[in-house]
Amino acid sequence: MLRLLRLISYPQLRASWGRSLLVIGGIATGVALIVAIDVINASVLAGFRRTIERVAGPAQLQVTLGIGEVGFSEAAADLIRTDPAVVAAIPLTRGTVGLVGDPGTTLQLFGVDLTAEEDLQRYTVTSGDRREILANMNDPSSILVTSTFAEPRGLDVGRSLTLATPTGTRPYTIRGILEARGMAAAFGGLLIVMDLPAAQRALAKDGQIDQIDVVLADGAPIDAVQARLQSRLPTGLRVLRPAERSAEYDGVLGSFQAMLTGLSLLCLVAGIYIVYNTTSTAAVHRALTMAALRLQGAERSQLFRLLMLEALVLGVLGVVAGIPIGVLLAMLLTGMVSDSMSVIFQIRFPVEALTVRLQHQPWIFVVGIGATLFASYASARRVARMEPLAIMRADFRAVTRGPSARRLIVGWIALVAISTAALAIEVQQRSILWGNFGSTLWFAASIVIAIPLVRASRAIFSQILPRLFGAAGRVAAESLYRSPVRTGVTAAAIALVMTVALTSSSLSWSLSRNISSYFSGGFLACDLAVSAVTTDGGWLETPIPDELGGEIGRLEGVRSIDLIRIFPGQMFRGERIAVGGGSDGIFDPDRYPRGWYRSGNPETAAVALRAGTGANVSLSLAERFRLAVGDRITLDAPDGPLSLAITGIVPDYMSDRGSVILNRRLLVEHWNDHAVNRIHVFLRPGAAAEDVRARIAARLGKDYALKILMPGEVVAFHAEQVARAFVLMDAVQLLIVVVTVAGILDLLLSSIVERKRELSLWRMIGADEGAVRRSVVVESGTIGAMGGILGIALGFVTSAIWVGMNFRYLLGYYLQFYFAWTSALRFLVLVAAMAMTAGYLAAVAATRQSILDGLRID
Amino acid sequence: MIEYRQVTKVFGSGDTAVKAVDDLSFTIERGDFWSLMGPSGAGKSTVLHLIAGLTSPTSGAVLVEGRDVARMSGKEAAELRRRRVGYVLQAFNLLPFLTAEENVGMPLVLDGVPQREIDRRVPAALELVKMTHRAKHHPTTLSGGEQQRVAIARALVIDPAIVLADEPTGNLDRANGRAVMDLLVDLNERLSVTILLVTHDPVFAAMAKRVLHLVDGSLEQTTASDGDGDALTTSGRRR
Repeated sequence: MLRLLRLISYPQLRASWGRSLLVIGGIATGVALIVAIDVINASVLAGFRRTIERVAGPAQLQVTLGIGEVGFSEAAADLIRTDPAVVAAIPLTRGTVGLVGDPGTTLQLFGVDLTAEEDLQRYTVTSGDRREILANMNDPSSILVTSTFAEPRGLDVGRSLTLATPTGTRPYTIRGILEARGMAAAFGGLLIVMDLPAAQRALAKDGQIDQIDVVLADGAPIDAVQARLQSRLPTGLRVLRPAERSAEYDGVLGSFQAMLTGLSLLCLVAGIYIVYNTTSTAAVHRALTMAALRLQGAERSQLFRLLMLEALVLGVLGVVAGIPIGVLLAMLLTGMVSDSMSVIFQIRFPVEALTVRLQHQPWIFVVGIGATLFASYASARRVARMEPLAIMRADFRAVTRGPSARRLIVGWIALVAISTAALAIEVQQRSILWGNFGSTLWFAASIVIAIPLVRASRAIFSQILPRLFGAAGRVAAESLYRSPVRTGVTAAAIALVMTVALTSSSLSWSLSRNISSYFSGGFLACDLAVSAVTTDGGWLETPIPDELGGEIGRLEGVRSIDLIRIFPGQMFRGERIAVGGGSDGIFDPDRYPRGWYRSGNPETAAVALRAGTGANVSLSLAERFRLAVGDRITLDAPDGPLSLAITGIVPDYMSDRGSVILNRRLLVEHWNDHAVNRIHVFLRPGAAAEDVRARIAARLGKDYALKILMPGEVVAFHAEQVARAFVLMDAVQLLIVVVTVAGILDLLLSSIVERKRELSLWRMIGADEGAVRRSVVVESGTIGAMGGILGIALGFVTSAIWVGMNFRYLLGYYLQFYFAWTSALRFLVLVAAMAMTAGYLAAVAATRQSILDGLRID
Repeated sequence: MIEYRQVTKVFGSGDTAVKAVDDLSFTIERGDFWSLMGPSGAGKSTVLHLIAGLTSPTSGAVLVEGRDVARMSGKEAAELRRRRVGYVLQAFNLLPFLTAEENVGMPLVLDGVPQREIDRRVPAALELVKMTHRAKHHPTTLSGGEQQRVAIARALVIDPAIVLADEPTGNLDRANGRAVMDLLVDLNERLSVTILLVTHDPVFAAMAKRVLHLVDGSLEQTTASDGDGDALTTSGRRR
């Protein structure tokens, strides 16, 4: 078999190197995406874990509220210190601050008990005497910066740095430079350390801390101490080892990572389809050789094995190329993914190095090879089964004939049925795995139905094309339906690209429209929105003091203000949800568009919400935990469990896992939080928004780094955030589109090459080159239109599945579906133009040769 | 060696049915050299296809070395072509990406013959057709006559009992056609290879020991020849 591979396959694969490259490229793309997603997922998790461990330093235990994103009283540290096994309990508070003069840079501000840190030795100060530096840190304007941050900016001890903190913009003095290791290496060195009380003041977190790092005595039983501390601390506070905390985040991020895996599966399906198309096209070109071998005594099984061996070799090459390309792709895309994740989860994901899970690579190898063999099986079987006599008579129907329309329709129905069942299980069990399986099958089903649909369209196009294009149209129509499989396969490839592109566009468009309605026509509508310039990496701005609301409210032209505070990291029954607090105005029933409350009465809800006895929950939270109006929901507040009656179920996009909306007073009372994220401003009749914006800027702009946005700008800001969150999907899908377009060009070019003899015959009986080219362009354009229309139809259903179902369980957002019609029309024009261009190029190539050469082609 | 027993082959069905071979019977003995003549569509090539197991008769039986070809499995039919029957065609000839010697060796490769054995047999086959000097050449660099000689070497390399030649001179000029025919005659005489030749050319047909005239799939006339182009006896048969 290896001799046959060398003598038969190698020269042919080399001769048609473009097609061989397409097979290798198809598999390499699929494998590269799987590898890239795997590496990205591993790297993001490892980076996150590393950050948690660096921040923990030598502490064996950490105490947090939930998973550590919501602050609690520092009094807990005193309680912990009473345990005899505890050597040190070091409180830490943190937040995000901006760098004045450099709006693109945000820094993590860590407030620590520097005296206690002596025990922990988490920082190494490289400049000056450590004890002297620590003594200076009592001054609230003193900070330590990392060498990673200081060196490129030429900063040194004694220099001043102006920071935009939640409590205002003020200068700080650098007292020491931290060596970039341990905690100081976290967040890529974009870290500032302050003494705890100073940091609490700067971050508007008086008396509040975010975690306590606990160092135990040598030989102390960690498990026993952990259990003991847990039993003594108030409900809601959790005592965990650093590794346990990272493991909790693995679960939080799991759904997003599953979505990425789903995307890479779509890419693999596209890869399989390209290989299938390419090997099917190659089968026609190689039919004569295979027939010659059969005449010389080659057995069918021998040819089948030879073709499968070829596929194996190409598959191995594809996988071998795909794995390093995947790692390279991961290098390029990791930043994009961590940025997308920051938008979705409101957490920073610093990734310093790529993590390649070597143990996954053999599986990816097997998947890649398996996909190639699967995709090549059908054409190998067809070639092996062909009758040499038919080929000798130039009758290629046996090679080009696909399965019957009835079989395809039955297959399609079966695939759709399985896909529907999988999606039903997804809904019932909220299973991402079933969702990925179901949507991938639906995607594959769309390919299967293309050929019968093309056959069914014969009646239409056979009438239309001759009327529109005369003889050229008649020839085009005849050619289209002489080989419905070829036409169908090409149209399906186009439809596939359209489906992928439209799903991505519709997903992003639906999210944008939903969020737009939230901010422009819904209860969050306002005349001006005031917030900090900086964010924690996502869309949510860092907190500002609530006193600013009072100051703004007193300005001329301002009728009223609303205050909004969001905790994106509150834990509820093991899920990371958001808690949003609003001032009384937010709950005004008149602000809610009709039907906004999916359940509950806006009037009665407003009464309970304003009284602080009720809470609205998001649709996603209600469905995930089967909550209904009238039920009670209990949140772990720092001062103990807070139980509220559910007064309404409403759409909300604060968090992917669901959210609770309550009165902000409760956040002040129970979470001791006095900050806000946004202040919504309503103007008096006749007041100009621009004037009021200027007044706010004049009054507060000097002391605070604020952004003051008009309603349109708020929507644009969120649309930009949605685009950020989807940039990876767009990048991945662009890759699928590029590879599939290459496959489509191959199909169109091959179909014309197969017809060189026929085109030469047509020229011989008097058709000029222009007529031949016109006919081919009409044919290709029609295939493009067929694929485009099919793509829009399939894209509509696929995107409805993704927006309405998959997205819910993958990311948790419950969205109203909006189909991206503008994109659909744009893509339709694009594919028609692409198909016609490919047809024209092929026709030029076919008519360039002499008529006699064309006739001798067989 | 080859026996046709009341063989009928019909292509298509109903109104479009065409009888390519109609109740044909004959027997070719080992070492015979027969040629088949007749107008286009008379069924000449189909007679060869049935012997090579490329298609099955609608009725009757085709026996090669005593075995009914129609009863052979696909694997056995392939083995028959690989080991017992060499096939030479008019135009459907050599694989363009292989050299002459690689083309000749292909049936042996397909049969899993060890490379050392192939290296021994291929030069011998090329020597038989006087193409040793062109062994390393690709088909595109060979003349039509040379290509056909290489094709004959490929048919001979398996040491066949039967060579089926389907218009092997059809694409050649007179001189090259004559050379190919001389080669076939020589092989028949020296190696006692049974040859069945399809041709339109009466002069080349007459170089065989017997000429069968087919019309509409039936045997119309059989002519015995002295092999030099002269008819010895002629017998006719009613269809």
